This record gives sequence, C-alpha cells and structure tokens, in this order.
Amino acid sequence: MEYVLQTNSLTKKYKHFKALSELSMNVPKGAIYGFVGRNGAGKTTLIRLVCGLQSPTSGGYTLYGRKDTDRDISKSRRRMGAVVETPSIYLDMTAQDNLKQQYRILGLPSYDGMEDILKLVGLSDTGKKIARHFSLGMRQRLGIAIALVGSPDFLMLDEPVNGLDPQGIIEMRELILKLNREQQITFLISSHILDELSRLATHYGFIDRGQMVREISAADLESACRKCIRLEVTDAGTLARVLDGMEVEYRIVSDREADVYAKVNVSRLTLALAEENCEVISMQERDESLESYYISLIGGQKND
Amino acid sequence: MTKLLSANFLRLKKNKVFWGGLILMAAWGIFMPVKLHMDNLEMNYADRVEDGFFACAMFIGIFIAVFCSLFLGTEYNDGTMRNKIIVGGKRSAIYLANAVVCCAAGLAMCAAYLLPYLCVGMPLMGAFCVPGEMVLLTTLTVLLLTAALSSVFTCIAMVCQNKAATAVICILLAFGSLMLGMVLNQMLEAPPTHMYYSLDENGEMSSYEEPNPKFLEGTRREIVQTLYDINPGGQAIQCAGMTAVNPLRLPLYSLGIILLATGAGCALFRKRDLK
Repeated sequence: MEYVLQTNSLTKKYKHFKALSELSMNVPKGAIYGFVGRNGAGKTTLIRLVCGLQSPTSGGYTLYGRKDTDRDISKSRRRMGAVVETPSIYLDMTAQDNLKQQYRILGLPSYDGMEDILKLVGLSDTGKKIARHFSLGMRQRLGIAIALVGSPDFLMLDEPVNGLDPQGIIEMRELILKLNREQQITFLISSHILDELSRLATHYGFIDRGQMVREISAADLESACRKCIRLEVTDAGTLARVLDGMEVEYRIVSDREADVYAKVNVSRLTLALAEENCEVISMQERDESLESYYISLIGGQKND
Repeated sequence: MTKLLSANFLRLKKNKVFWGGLILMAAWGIFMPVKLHMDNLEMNYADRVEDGFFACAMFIGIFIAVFCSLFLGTEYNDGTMRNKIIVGGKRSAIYLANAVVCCAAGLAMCAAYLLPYLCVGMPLMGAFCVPGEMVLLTTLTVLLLTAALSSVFTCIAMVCQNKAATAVICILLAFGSLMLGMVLNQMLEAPPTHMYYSLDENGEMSSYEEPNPKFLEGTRREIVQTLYDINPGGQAIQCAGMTAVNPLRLPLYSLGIILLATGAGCALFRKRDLK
C-alpha cells in the first residue's frame, strides 16, 4: 500500500508534558483518515509537527516518502495543504484577496483557477465582503480554499466541523467527499465528533494521551461493530431475567434499556415479559456505533 | 524569497495602517515648513529650511512600532503565518521577507515626510544653509535609523506570537528609546561649570565659578556619548537637531543594530514552536 504520511515513534514534549509519545501512524494514499481522540489527546500537536510548525522532540515522519529531516522536505510540503485549528485567513481581506495572497506565496504565475476554487467551496459570490464579516462556516470554507491553492493532493483538517451549524456540517461533508472522489485528495481529519466522522472516513486512527491506540480501516471497523436491538422496557431487571432464561446475549444500558445481540422471537419475548408484568415500550434495531467502539477502546486503555 | 516578498508587498498595498502612516507623515511634511515660514513672518524668527527637515526622525520610531506590530502581529493573530510554513516556506526566508517589507514601509513613511517638506519648504524658505554633504549624511543616517528601528520591531513582532503584547512592547520601546536619548542628551549637555552669584555685606554683587559635579569627563563621557550614539532614540534627537558629535559613527551603529536584530530574530524564529 502506498502511504502519503507515515510517522515513526513521533514524540513531542512541552517542558515536562508529553503531548505525543512514540506515535506511529500510516495514512494511505486516497484515504479519508479520521484521527479520533479526546481534547488534549495530541491530535493538533501531530498536525502541527507534520505541517512544520513545530519540531519533534524525537522520532520522525515521512511525507510522500521524504523524511522530515530531509533538506527537500519542503518539496513534499508543497503538495499538501492544511487548516490547523482556526482557518488561517486575513480577516481584513476579501475571499479573493486571501486567495491571491496564497497564489503569490506559492509563486504561481497567474490567478488561473481562483474562481473555480471559490466556486467549489461556495464562496464565488462574496464580492467585496471582507472575511471578518463571514460566518464561521464561510471562514472554514475559505480556509480550505486557501489550502486548495496549488492543487495539493493531501489535506489535513483539524476539527473542520467544530462550531458549524447543521447546514454548514453537511456542506463541509459534501465538499470533503467531492474533493476525495473527484480530485483524489487524501484527507487527514482530526475530530471528536464521531458521528460526523463515521460518515466520511475510510480509515481511522484512535489516539489517547499522545499514543496511537489503534489504526483500523472503516471496513474492518464495520465488521467489528455488532448489530443489536435496543429494547426499552418498564423494568430492565425483569428483562435480564427473561433474556437469561432464553440464553440470549445482552447488555443492560440503563434501568429501562438493554441491547440484545441476537435475533429474538419478538412475540415470545413480549409474552414472556408480560407474564412477569413487564411492558415493552419500544424496540429499535441499531448498529454499534463508532462512538461505542471508541468508548470501549479508549475506556479499555484507561483501565489498563 | 521573491514569492514571499511579492505576497507581502501585495498585502502592504492594501494595508490601511501603512497608508494611514504615509498620509500622516506627508501631511506633517507639508505642515512643518509652512508653520516655520509663518513663524518667520509673524514673529521674525530666523528658521531655516533644515531646522525642521529631519524632525521626522523623532517620531518615525513610533510610526514603525505601530506598523510592524500590527502588520506582522496579524500574521500570528489571523494564523496566516502558518500558510507560508505549511506549503514549505523556509523560516529564514519568511523572516527576511517580513523584515524587508517592514523596512520598505518605514523608508516609505520617511520619504513621505521628507519629499513634501522639500517641495514646500524650499520655495518658502530657500535652499539649505548647511553644507550639502551634511544634509546627505544626515539623510543617510535617518534612513539607516529607520531601517534599524524596523529591524528591532520586526524581531520583536516575529518572536512574540501575541499581537497585543507585541504592540505594547514595540510602542513602549519606541518611547523608552526616545526618553533614554533625552536623559543621555541632558547628561552630555551639562555645562562644565556653574556660575554662582552672591551679595556681600556692602551690598555689592560678586560672582564665582565652580565646577559642575554632573559634568561628564573622560571615560564616563565617552561611555555616555557612545550609548547616546548607539541608542536609536539618541540618534533620532541628534538627527532632528543636526547636532551629531560623531556623525560618521551613527550610520555604522545603525548597520550594527540591523545585523544584530535580524540575525538574532532569524535564529529565534527558526527555533520557535508555532501554534
């Protein structure tokens, strides 16, 4: 498999605090890599290191096969774009002027394609409005537009949907998917909004306290996650007794809810519960989500 | 670096603080000779064209402090510094490009004062009464002083990642440097002796002269004079009044400040962890 980014025992210390501890990760070409971790887990630190904003304390990484210590690493960086934390835009400039700045920084001979980029991110009609007056979603999209100048084939987005309204989240998702499918851009997206990430990612990396807990493809994750039926009853204790009697695997969620990991005969179950004076209030088929996978993974690590 | 310079100058062209500074300096460059001429006419003063020509040296530091802290502070405040590094811009090139654009802005503000002053002042008050070489040397000193101040403020703005803190430090430093210059000037201007007057028993006045304990001599005077010459605020005072004791040394000191500030700033910026 061809990798865009590989890190090798990457470590970053801030005085006595270890933000990254011997982290190794692999971002395959063409992937949408969901980088998952709680606040302060080290997601942004990793992005800062790969962007060259900070230097690793030890370990290293390769970007398009070039080591970070290579003198020509800037040539690899030229192929990437990033939006780190907040979008990096001049607030007193228009969307167009912001893009012109980036065109100049990259030394591009003309502003060809600028209108296409603005159109792609939905900012072609902002005219003379300066970025200070943009909504958060517009600023985020302008940040991505800047990152897209120079046609990079690897984009790193740090919490791209943070603070966006539902419409903004949908637009951002569609934009990322469009860029990935139509322009084959590889994405590394750090987020703790797991539901949103699960709609995008083809690969996941779970990080906790600066360490990579697990890397897994979305396909493998899907097969690891189990389907279940969420039952809401008047008394979970009675439900547990009945399910034990039926020799069915389950997990009590609350005093009124339980997940059942098997196909059960609903009529038999309902009758058995009725005999014990327990009513079934609702029944819902559900997959084990990325969220619960994450909780079991990170929770398990915490208990180690 | 040419790419970064091109981007920086494009931003400078649209920068309101820069244009504001330029307009203020130009307005002052027109107002100053007109005021001197009016004073000559109304109060029989004998001000000459050179009397206010280098007055811009006194305040250029404050203008540059404000400009550098806001222009470069924005790069950190808006996070746009990252855009340059992420796409592979070398830190030394980013630093030098910023230093060049700040220096150019400072020199432009200086020129915005000097040129209108000449255009208005010479028709009103005639040509310079001091030798041409002295005018040229002082002009060179003022321009190098401007570049030195730009280098110092660029260094601060590039190392400090907080825009508000940068603005406060730069402006305080600009005023502090001027204050220090004034204190050193007072120390050097102290007369060697004081005259004392007294009335004797017959009511006759007698005078006697006593050495001034605050008068600086020997090594102490040399040290204070050197500090006065090195300190940009001291240079500004000397240029404004065309009173430099060592006029040839001042441009050399400014060059030294430029090299030192740029070298130190560049080295610190290269090692700095950016957010």
